Amino acid sequence: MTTDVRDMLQDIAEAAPCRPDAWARNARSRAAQRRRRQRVVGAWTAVGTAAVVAVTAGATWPFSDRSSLPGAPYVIEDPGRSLPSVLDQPIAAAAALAVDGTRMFLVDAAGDGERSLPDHVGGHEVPDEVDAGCLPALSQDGSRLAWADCNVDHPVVTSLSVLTLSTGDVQRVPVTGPEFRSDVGGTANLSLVWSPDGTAIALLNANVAAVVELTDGRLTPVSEGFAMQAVWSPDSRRIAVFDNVLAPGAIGAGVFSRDLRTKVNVQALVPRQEVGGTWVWGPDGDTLSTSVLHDGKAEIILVPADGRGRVRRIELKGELAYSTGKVPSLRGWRGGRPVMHVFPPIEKRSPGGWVTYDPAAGQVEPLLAVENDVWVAQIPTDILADQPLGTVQARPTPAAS
Amino acid sequence: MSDEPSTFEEFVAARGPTLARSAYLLTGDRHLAEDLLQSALARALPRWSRIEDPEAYLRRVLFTEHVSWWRRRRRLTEVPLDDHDAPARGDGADEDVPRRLAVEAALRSLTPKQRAVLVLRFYEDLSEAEAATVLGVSVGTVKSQTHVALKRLRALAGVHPDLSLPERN
Repeated sequence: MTTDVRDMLQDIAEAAPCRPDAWARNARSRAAQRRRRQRVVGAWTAVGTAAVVAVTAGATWPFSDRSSLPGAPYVIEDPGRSLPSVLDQPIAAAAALAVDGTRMFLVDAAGDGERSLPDHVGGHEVPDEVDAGCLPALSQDGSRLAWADCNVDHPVVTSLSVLTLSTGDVQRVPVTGPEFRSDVGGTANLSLVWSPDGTAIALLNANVAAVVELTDGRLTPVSEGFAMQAVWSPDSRRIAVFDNVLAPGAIGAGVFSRDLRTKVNVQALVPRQEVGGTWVWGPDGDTLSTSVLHDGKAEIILVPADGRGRVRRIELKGELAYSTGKVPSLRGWRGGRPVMHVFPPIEKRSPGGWVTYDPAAGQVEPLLAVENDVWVAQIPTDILADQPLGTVQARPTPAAS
Repeated sequence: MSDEPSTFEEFVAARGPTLARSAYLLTGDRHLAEDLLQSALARALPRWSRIEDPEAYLRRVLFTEHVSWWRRRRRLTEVPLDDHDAPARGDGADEDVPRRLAVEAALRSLTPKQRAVLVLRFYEDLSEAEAATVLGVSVGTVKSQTHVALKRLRALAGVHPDLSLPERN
């Protein structure tokens, strides 16, 4: 039997929810929340060895019990306190870039609190909320912050700006080469990804990827069509671009050489809709890894980056065994163990938290709890991989008067 | 300011269900569809008095947000466990259920952008040029992705092999 896709779409659409009163009410609530966040949301900041711990009164699995967090004081931001600018009080490196409704801030890796960012950072100035579609990017060692110089009225990327956090100096790198837009359909949608060696930045606008060499600003397009993610190899000699246009039942990437002249297609035969997270380079530097749902079980797959050899699988057991209804998202590797972003039930509207996972024991260790309205946008790769985050302690926040 | 609340509520009451249907087709999940729509509405609300065509604006935000969700994995990285959480319908169309489920499953196998292209072209009834504008891609990309998506739907769910839409000016 054949059928008209138009009829079937209309038929399927009839099952859509219909609660306009609730939608309007909830939209107003969300908009008001965004306006209030800057005043009422405290950013819980990890100190000492660099982690951000943002905990709300509501439970966020598996962080409902604060005593389960590793011990040592974390500092809690007084609600409404204005933060010093990173230009006025430089830091050597940032442990995280976080977003609190209208405010982006950096967490000092040395444990000296947070720093606000200049208003112009990020390219797109949005007065009532931080536009997640156009965030600046921390270098992988946390020492520099880059953003594209563009906005909704001038969406073509004309230059990149690089802020050195230790000095406050901003280097502007004019971009040359093919035109690259920062928007998709008029909406800001641009990601920057630093190469580990800090010499280049990949740009993605969801449709196209490109690499900009910071030495001369030369922009080279990587691929055409639906570039969803770009991941540099640890040695900066390869970059994997996930364009998501593959054969049915497969996921994979084009792995380009550093000069972008050669490409290897890498695929794994896993239904695409079962991919649960972003891709990261594997701990051995020779594989690409992500989390998927396979035959109803959550697991990590490691795909050889040279396109040859077998795909390895690590089943997620215990608390990560898909018990919340969402596939935990792989964010990196730490001491050979995966770092997973886990999600609470959707009704809690929370990003959940980050954990390390011990495959042998099937146990997790909390790294980072995330409060509902604080979004930890980035943790530099080097810090995520190397710093001893597990010694953070906590003390309660003083009550706001 | 004085008439803005009623205007917003009236718009959501009148056009919200239509937008929700598009959101549902995009996400394949009722909860995610509501979340996507409410996110778009919250984004539009502060600018409401300055938006000339709210429905067009919201549609564009819906589609671009949907695609961005997949890539950015900001808050909703989850894959829904319950693939069939739609309410049961007992309107005598039971014979269509297997077919509908097959199409729904086939839709879930598409990439977010392939779904978006299909919904824009075959549900929203936009031309290739209009769909390209909403998604911020070239007309050629819309054509190629439509081709790939229909090919997959044909393979998986038996949609009409000769389906095509006339171009509109």
